[in-house]
Amino acid sequence: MKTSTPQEEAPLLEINNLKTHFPIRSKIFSRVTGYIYAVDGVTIHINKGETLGLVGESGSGKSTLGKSILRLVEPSSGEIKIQGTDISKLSKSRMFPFRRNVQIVFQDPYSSLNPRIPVGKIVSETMKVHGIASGAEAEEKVQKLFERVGLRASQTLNYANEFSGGQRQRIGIARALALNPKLIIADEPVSALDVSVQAQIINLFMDLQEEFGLSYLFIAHDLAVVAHISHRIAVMYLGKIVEIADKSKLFKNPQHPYTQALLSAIPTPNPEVKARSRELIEGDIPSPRNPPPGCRFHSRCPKVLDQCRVEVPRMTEAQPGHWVACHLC
Amino acid sequence: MPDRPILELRDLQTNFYTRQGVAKAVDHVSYSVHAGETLAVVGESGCGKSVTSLSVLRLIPDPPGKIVGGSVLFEGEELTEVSDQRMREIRGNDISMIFQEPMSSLNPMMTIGNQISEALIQHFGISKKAAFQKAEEMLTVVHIPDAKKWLHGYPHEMSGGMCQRVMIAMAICCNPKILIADEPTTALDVTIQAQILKLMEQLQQKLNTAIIFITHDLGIVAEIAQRVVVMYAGRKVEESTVRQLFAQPKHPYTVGLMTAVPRLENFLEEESAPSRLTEIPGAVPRLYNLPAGCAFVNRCSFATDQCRQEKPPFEEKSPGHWAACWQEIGS
Amino acid sequence: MKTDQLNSKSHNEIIPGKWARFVEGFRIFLSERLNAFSLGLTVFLILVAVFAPWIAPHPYDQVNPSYGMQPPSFEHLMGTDQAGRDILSRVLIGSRISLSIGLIAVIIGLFSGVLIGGFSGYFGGLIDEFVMRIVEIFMSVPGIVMALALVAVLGPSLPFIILALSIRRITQFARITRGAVLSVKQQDYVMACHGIGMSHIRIFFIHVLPNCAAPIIVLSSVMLGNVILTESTLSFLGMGIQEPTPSWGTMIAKGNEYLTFAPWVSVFPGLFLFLTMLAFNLLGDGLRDHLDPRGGNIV
Repeated sequence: MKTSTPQEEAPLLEINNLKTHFPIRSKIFSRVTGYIYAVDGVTIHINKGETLGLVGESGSGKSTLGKSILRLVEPSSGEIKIQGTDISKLSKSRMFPFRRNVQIVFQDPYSSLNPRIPVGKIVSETMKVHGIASGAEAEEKVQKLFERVGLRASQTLNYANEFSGGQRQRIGIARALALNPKLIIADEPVSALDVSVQAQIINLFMDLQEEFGLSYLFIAHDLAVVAHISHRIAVMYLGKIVEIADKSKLFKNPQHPYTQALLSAIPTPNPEVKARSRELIEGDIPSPRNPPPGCRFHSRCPKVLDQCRVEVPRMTEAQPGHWVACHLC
Repeated sequence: MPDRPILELRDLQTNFYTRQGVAKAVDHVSYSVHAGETLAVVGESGCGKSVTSLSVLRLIPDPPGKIVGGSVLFEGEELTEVSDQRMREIRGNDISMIFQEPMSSLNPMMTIGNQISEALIQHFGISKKAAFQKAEEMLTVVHIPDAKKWLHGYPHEMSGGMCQRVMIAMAICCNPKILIADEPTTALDVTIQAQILKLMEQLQQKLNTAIIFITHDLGIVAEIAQRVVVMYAGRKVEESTVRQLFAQPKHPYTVGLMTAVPRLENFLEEESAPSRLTEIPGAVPRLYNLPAGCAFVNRCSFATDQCRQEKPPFEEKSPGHWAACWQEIGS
Repeated sequence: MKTDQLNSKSHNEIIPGKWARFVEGFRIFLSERLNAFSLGLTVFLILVAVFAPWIAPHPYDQVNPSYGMQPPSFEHLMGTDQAGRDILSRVLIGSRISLSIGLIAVIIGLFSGVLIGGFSGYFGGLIDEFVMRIVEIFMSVPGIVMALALVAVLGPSLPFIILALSIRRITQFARITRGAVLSVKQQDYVMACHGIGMSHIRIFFIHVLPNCAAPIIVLSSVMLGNVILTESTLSFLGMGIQEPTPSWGTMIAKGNEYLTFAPWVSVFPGLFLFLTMLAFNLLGDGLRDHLDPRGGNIV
């Protein structure tokens, strides 16, 4: 999969067979009684200046994957390479310098800012902790950042509860930008926003990418949003990537039955095409505590084969740069 | 379609009295819906679409809210004036509602069976045994597998999609004439959303229910509604059939909503690099501090001095297509 | 910098400072009539306690046996007790004792409880299990029983009474702080701090603890009333403040014998105890509503 496009340099982020399993403990004596297989063997990479979209339904583990990369939740095994260095096992202090390179923007604009600290200070604190700037210099930098993300410099003194959801998300982006990162993990950054504000934030992400050469891991449950901003898209289901390809290839020619189902489930804003026959998949996503054996999608797949129930499908390259994990392809 | 609408709102006004001032959450809103028809009410958060439907059912928390004017006619009966007793009979019996958060709309301490049969016992005065039988039937109707088993299950054991099915079962168990669905699929995944939408369509065909579908997603509107009302800042800004609206939106806000949403079709054609979306600048204004003229004026690219000073009338721009805008958009 | 200043001036908006925000929040708090009442009562009681020696018309320990059991009169507004001491003066001086014991016990409980509960909740794991089990053991013994037992063993002197009263507060503060910390540490802004690589100490003291303030403040107010009541109970049972130092509890206990023919001996200290409890509990309730995050007020 590393050879989807010829590369001169190593990818910015490379994840190999990453697993994040949460132990389930019993009430008495905290005995481990099982695991939640939130992320279960994910291999992806992101190049410089590229946006990888990550889609999946709730419970697919996409958010856990994003947080595992920053080690906000500890991965159980696998490699996370940032510019060639595996950070998955580094100590807190050895990890510290790498944190500058990867930052995160959260989904919920209402819980992502400390309500008791002026928003400007939230951003300048980030710089202070990493020794980038402090005092008046930091203040000035924060004001510039605020203006860059579409806020007024004077607003640095306000508190988070005085901002709308969209504005808070801009502040969250300013905080992430404060360290000049190379990669931003955007964890459903627009799903809590109103439609008209969503577009503003998506545009801001794209402008910033162009200006600073950022890479994004853009996580969302809305395929249309991901489609808009991404270069490549990965589809995740129950802790595993089932399909990964360039955006246009994925939409024109989706290979995995799950991707096909996701695409056909999206309501089309065009009343003239209403009569099309929909291929609906039945049932709910199973619990990641007890994932189905074989292909994880087999319990809902309309094209299921006997083989799917027992054998885990491998990622194969269906077309150049188009990888899919399905026995049918 | 019969001539007389089953529900008709005329110049409904609901105010909220807050510390910051009076918020006109519903500002002279009129719409009507016929039996068997689906009317979509579209708008962003804070546009008054939910408050309007809560006003219909007189579920506005008072204080701070109060219906201050207009009328709501349900089969000719004035709902703003009927007794509380009569209103309770209408709620659930004739008009029922589904909410956005299926998990928090169900009582976590009661079994599914008890919750559904409670309404049945109250409205039809049937025995508990008969009510449970009917409840099982309803669960089968909304495609819940093992309906019998789930009668004794609790909401927390179900997924979000299943909870929403139970909510629908509860809403339709008394054969209501009108179903108000307030963003019923927003909290659900797309594949589950598609299942729920399909279910609602099937049920409507079977029961000839009128559906008022409140949503912010134009895709859903196109999919299930026949007519659509667009609201902005407590006011109705556009009303037409779905086809007309998508063919030629007449209000700049509707145009903005349509272009601001990323659309999948766009990516099927070209080898497209990421492209900018058309954005609506600014944010929805605070309701207690609206501009003097058109409420959308500060975000509108067509705004003139007239828009700033005078409220645009809600007028018929082309047959069956109404909008409140001084400008001629899209003609 | 210059352009930025110009920029911020061109927007003619006033950004309220911390103090202005506090004043505004305070004004909203007082706009509720019950809050104004409870705060007024609290301030009144505190002022009374502070200035008691100057307000008191007689020395609190002036004995005058021939003048015992006098009903309220112009000379003795609340009457006198069996030893002829002025009850008003004793009640006023008693409020000093009660309030200061309450305050010290709550402050000890607050600081130790918040730190213990806070760290326990923040770091979790085995430390948390251990600390919470200990807290539960303490909670399982009724407060008054534990205080009685401690005073019985250590002796009824002031420091030991305060110690006996504060141990239970420590566990209560620890529990409530732990609960608040557990929910705050899940918030995305704390995640963001970890994402930057901030130290645990900084995250704990700057980002987690201040956001747990609301329940702790409310508990402090309610606890203050509670400690005073417990202290009075101890004194009533003879295990608290010893004669001749006046304490509401002791005074109520002493007056108990004469309740039928000289009710003023215990009624007036009882009334003050009741008012104190009322003030602190109402204040606590008012603060709870005011600090509710849905209200969006800043302390």
